[in-house]
Order: sequence, then structure tokens, then C-alpha cells
Amino acid sequence: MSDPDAVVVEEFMRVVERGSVQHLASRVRGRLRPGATAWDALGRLFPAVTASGLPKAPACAAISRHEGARGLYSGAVLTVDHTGALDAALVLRAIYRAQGRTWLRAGPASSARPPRTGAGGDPGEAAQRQPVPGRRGDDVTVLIDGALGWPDADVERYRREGYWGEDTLGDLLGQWAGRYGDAVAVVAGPSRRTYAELDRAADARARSLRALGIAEGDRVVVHLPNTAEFPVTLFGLLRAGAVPVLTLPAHRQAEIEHLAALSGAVAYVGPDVVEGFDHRELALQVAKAVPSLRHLLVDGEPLPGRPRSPTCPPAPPSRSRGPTPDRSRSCSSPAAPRASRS
Amino acid sequence: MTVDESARAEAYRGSVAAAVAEIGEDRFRKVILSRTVPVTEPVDLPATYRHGRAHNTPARSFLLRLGGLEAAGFSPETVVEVAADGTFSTQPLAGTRARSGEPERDAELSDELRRDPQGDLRARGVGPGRPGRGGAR
Repeated sequence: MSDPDAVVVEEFMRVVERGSVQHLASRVRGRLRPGATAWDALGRLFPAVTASGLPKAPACAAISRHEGARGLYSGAVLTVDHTGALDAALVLRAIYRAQGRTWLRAGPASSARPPRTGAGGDPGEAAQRQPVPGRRGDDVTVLIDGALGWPDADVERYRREGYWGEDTLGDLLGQWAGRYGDAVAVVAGPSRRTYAELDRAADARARSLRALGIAEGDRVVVHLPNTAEFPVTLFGLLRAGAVPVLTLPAHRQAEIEHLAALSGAVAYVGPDVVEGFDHRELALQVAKAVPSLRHLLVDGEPLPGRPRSPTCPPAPPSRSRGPTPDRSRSCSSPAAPRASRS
Repeated sequence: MTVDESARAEAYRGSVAAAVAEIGEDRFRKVILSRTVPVTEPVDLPATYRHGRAHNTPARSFLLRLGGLEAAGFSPETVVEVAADGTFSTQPLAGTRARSGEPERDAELSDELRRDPQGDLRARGVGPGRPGRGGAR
């Protein structure tokens, strides 16, 4: 519908006031491709996800099954003019009258609490887990326990055609360091890290993680923004044999808690405070709800007054000479009782 | 004016329970099922519109009579806005908190919204027919 280069997120999660309530609003702007009309844009964006649910198509099918015809509710009122301009207002918070009958229509969102799985999950709930589709037959290769597998026929083809090799991502970084050594690998603001420095920093990070007790196959939630620490942590986890569970910086407690519980994560790695949001507080809340989480690691300052975790690793040998100090060594433990889980 | 919110509540609860069961089968993650509430007293729609417009801050509002249908409403968001030059924008909303009228309390609620925009989904979504904190669409 739009040239991808023309798409701009103008506002992201800004609080807007609407009468007696307030919401988070985002605005995405684009430019119609040549040949496309306002109706194409409406066709793609209608019905509003705010009024249907996620994902849109199955949610709309469910609405038809359970509700029948909605009439104007959750539809749109349009103004269209001869210039091609169109304005579609989502219909909610309205009163309707037809054939002598007057009515209101409203509905809250329905979702289901995701089942808890993983090490700390309730056994009763865990027993209700859906079988992992990839493990039903013998003709499937499962690379990571608990994750979907690939059909063996595809695996053979990927290997034959060279899409899949034998190198791990952690190995690849070592190869790049050997080949490009002093070339800059990471640019983050004023700081620079060469391939060799990134390679050494990733090794040091892997050692720190192992010293914490993070073992092969352990899931670790990574909630870092795009800083120089992100690739160090990512490669460090991969070299430690852990499985990084990558999340988005905009994720908040609901998403992080779900992903941590679903993956049975043993650790969370996040920043301290970004744009006024304290990720350490989020981590403490998530740790309360997800029993498998044993370690909360902060890239930055631990919460004031909070003891450093007894399992906080000693400073790794200062082989990393990158201009960015290796700040991720500071780690905080959650409230005292939880530290005993470490 | 009062409306009877309990009208057809049983049928609605049944629909929501069925939809939540389907979510459990991973067919979708979230759905907004609505129900109608009959208004039995006479309503002056133009006056309702004028009153609502004076006391609300909608993105759009409308008062219409089209075919046999009349409606007045206060739209919180646009589905799409297309300008004559081909630029378009859409403004989806997420999360809902009340506005109390007290600036301090409202600021707290705004902070809560920023911290955990979808937290209210769980509060209002876990049981059938249990709307949460002002989350009605």
C-alpha cells in the first residue's frame, strides 16, 4: 500500500485523553503507492484492530461466529471528497436507533492467561500443555528442546543447498575476529568496538554467565535496547550454550512475564532506566510471578540499597579494551528471600 | 437515564466463554466481543450528541441518519486518514485507564498505562463478562 521508505511512526505510545478515559496512541504515516487509492488504504486497515482483536482475521471470524451482525458498531463513519481525501472514524462509544428501537453496544477485550510452563510451572498446568507439533513424528529434527522442529526433508535440502552450515553463531564471531580483527564491528554513539574486542568481550560475558550457574540450554530473557552491550550479551549467551529469548524494548510486564514463563527462563538481562522507565522494577515484578527466574542482571546500576547478588561474578579479566566500559558486571539480586534461589 | 446492563448477560457470558476456549486452542490471542444494551427511555439524539461533544475529547464525532439508521457517537480513533496528496495515517490505540478529574491521580494512571499498557487486558480478560478498568470499547 505504501512505499516502505515513506512509512514513519510519528507517535509511539503517547497518552491521549478521550473524555473520561485515557489511552496510549501511536500514529503511523505513509504515502500511497502510485495507482493506489484511499480505498486501498481503508481496505488494508479496516476493521481497526482496536475493535476486533489479535490477530485480526481469526478474531473477526470469531466475532462472526459468536456475535453475528454488529451493524455500525466497530465499523467506520467516512467522509470522502472529490480530491481523493478520505477520513474514516472508528465507530465505538455511540448510540444507535432503528425501527423504533434504541440501543448501545460495547465490549471489553477477552484474552486468556497463557498457561505456565517451564521449570517452575504448576505441574497441573504443565500437564495441559499442547504437544509440541514438531515432536510428533520421527521425521522431524528438533534443534532446541521445546521448540518447533524442522521436517527432515527440509533439513537435508537446507544443508545440501548450503543454507545451513555447521558453524554456530558464536563460532562465526571468532572467525570474523580472525579475519577482520581490528576493523570496527560495533558503533554505538561515540563508542567503537572492533571484531577482536567484541570476540573477547563475548568470551568474558560467557564466563560470567557460566559462573552464575547459567548452563547449556538455559533460557535467558534479553530485554536490552540497541546498545553496545546487546551484541556482547547475545554472543556471550550463545557461547555459554544458553538460549537467548529476545524481546522488544517496548515490551512491558505483560509481555516479558509471558515470555519468561513460557520459555521457563532462568535469567533476565535488562537495562537500568531507559527514558524514565525502570526496567529493574519490572524485573522484580516479573521475578515474583515467574518462579523459574533465578537471576536478574542489570546493564547499569543496581537498584539503590539492593544488595549485590551473592552470585554476582567477579570482575572478568580486563582484556576488553573497548572504549565502552563493561558495565554489565553490576548485577542486582531481587529481594532477599529470592536470592536463595540462586 | 439508566440502562439495564444485565439484559442478555447470560448469552454474552456464554459467547465470551466459548471465545476464551478458542483462544486456549491458539486460534487467536485476543478478541473483543460486544453485546447490545437496550435503551428503553426516549432519547433525543441531537441533544445527546451536543451534550457529549461538549463533555468529551473524541478524535471524531458524528450524528447521522442514513436509511433507517440513526446514530450519534464519539470516536476515539481514526481507522485511516488519507489526504488529497496521497499521504495517509492511522492512529491505533492500546490500553485504557480512567480519567478521574484529579490531575495527580490522572498522572499516576498515565504512568501506569505507559509502564504496562496491556496489563489491563489480563485484568479484564480472564473471566467471562468481567469488564475491567474502563476497558470497554
